[in-house]
Amino acid sequence: MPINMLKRIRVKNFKSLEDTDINFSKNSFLIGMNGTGKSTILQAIDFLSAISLGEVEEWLSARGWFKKDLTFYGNKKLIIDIRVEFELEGVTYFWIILFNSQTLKSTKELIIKRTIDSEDRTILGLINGYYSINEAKREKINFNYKGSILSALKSDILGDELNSIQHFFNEIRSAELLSPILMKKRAREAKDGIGLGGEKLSAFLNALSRDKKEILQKELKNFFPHINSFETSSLRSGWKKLSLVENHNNKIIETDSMHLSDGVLRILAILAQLLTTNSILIFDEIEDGINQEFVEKLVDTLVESPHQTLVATHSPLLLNYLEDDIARESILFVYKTKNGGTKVENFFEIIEKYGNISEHEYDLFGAGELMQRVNLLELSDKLSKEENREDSH
Amino acid sequence: MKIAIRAEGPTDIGVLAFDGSLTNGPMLILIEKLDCYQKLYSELGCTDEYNSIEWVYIHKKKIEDSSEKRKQVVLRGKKDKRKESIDTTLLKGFYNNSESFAFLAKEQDSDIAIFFVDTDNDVFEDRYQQTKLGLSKHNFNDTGVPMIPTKISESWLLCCLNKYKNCGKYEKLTSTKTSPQYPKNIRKASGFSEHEIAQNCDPNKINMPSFNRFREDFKKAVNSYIKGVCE
Repeated sequence: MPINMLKRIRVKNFKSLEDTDINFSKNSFLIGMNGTGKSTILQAIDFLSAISLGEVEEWLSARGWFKKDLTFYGNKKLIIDIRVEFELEGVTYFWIILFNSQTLKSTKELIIKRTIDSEDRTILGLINGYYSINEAKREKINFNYKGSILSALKSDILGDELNSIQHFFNEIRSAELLSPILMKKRAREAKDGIGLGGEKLSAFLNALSRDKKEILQKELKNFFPHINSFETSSLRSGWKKLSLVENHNNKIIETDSMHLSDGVLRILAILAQLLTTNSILIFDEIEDGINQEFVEKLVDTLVESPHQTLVATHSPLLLNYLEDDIARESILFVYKTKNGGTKVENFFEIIEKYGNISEHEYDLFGAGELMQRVNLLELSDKLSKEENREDSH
Repeated sequence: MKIAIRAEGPTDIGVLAFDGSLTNGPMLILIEKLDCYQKLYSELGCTDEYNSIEWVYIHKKKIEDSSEKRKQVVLRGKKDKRKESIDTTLLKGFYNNSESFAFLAKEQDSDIAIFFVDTDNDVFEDRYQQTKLGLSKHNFNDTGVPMIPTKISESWLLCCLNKYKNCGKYEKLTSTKTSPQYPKNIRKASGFSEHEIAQNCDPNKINMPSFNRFREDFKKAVNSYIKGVCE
């Protein structure tokens, strides 16, 4: 069974994504210089989820952003143009959204299903204030909505196929801002996961089923053999407290999350995310605070997980733990053009063209070492010059 | 100017004396007699008293040590097994050796780098390409010169000894060291030492594929250092 995943996205006019085209694989690792737009790409994917849920205002306020922050360097053009190719249960779909950054809703939307033997079929259309489902009669939109019209239509109107599409996008989860301070906090409830910064970790763990808790304990022990278990308890007033139980020389020590190491909490948060049914998981600088001894396990865990994962990283060590075939398809190089727009290319294709790497080096070195053998600054420079030349033609 | 050269010992490039001066071995004697070398020599205004061409002598042991150290500077990763498995050949191979040599040559500001090594078997082209690639890693492109006698340096000397006639056949001699037809053994039987043969040889007359390749590459290197000297 192929896993459900995002295959390709083309975004115009979202922050530094002036016109950015990205192909994803089951695991994608974004690398590139600081400030080139890696995090923006992660945000764009998470933004899809906010659109699909109709929770764009909430999304903005969770990040402390204003409407004007959404467009390319405060571009006067209000429309953000997003085209997504994705695969559900082996079927390819396209979702095209023209999103108005002022009214925070889609002005045009199409969801197209690609069928092998017949023509492409429009299963959702929204044009000029009318919508239509499965090419049926157009209906006037006489109700309010934010984000995608998917968020405003009842599930019996949408039907199974559109429901599962909406579910797929709703279930994108970003833990891009995992922060030790937030993870240590006690939380009341976590119905939407552990939160962007890991702030609901304790409540999320507390709500896990017994089975899932056991799996998580086991996985955590796999990383840290001396950790017996994690415990969550409800305090009066509903706050959830998280602590870890460690065994050192047969002495049991329980430590409140307040005093736990950042790396342990991060790994716990990542493992917890991987236990969920979410579709795409997003992590920014996943290696932060994690010791080199745990990096291989972390990478293996991501690669083996049934989720599509999207990770931004600066760590050659992390890339070095990817098998060659996975590295070749999954490492994406992010750079900026002269006018500040973000572009993305497959890293191996680019170094084959510009990196002056010999066959022997490909055999001998892992992806992280290859990354170290290439001057990323010079590579960005060459690519942006090339981009300029193509533009001027 | 500085020319770096990989050396194994007294019977090829030569040895370094205690004072750092180089006692020329037979291969170095041949190089210094090449027309192109002579042209370079006079172009630079060299005389018996003043020679501005400096040989940077890099012994194979030094290259291997450096290679060994450099291969330890690798990141942990899925390819950790390379240290004990078949991949080791890559680390010891011609590519890696010539790359390490080029690294050391660059470190000493050499203008031209000559990687001397015997072919020993029939894989000349493969070794030649790997060497070229290794040299180019440190920007010795046209200035990087593989010097790879087929089968061994004695094959070239046998050509001198036999008045430069039908020399191609000396590249096809056996690689079996105990055979009387092994180039070194034929040379021994002639009663002349490597030095004697080289001193009485005119390398410009040698016509055999592996030597021609070296002579052409050397020309290209000198021309790239000073345009048009060896046209």
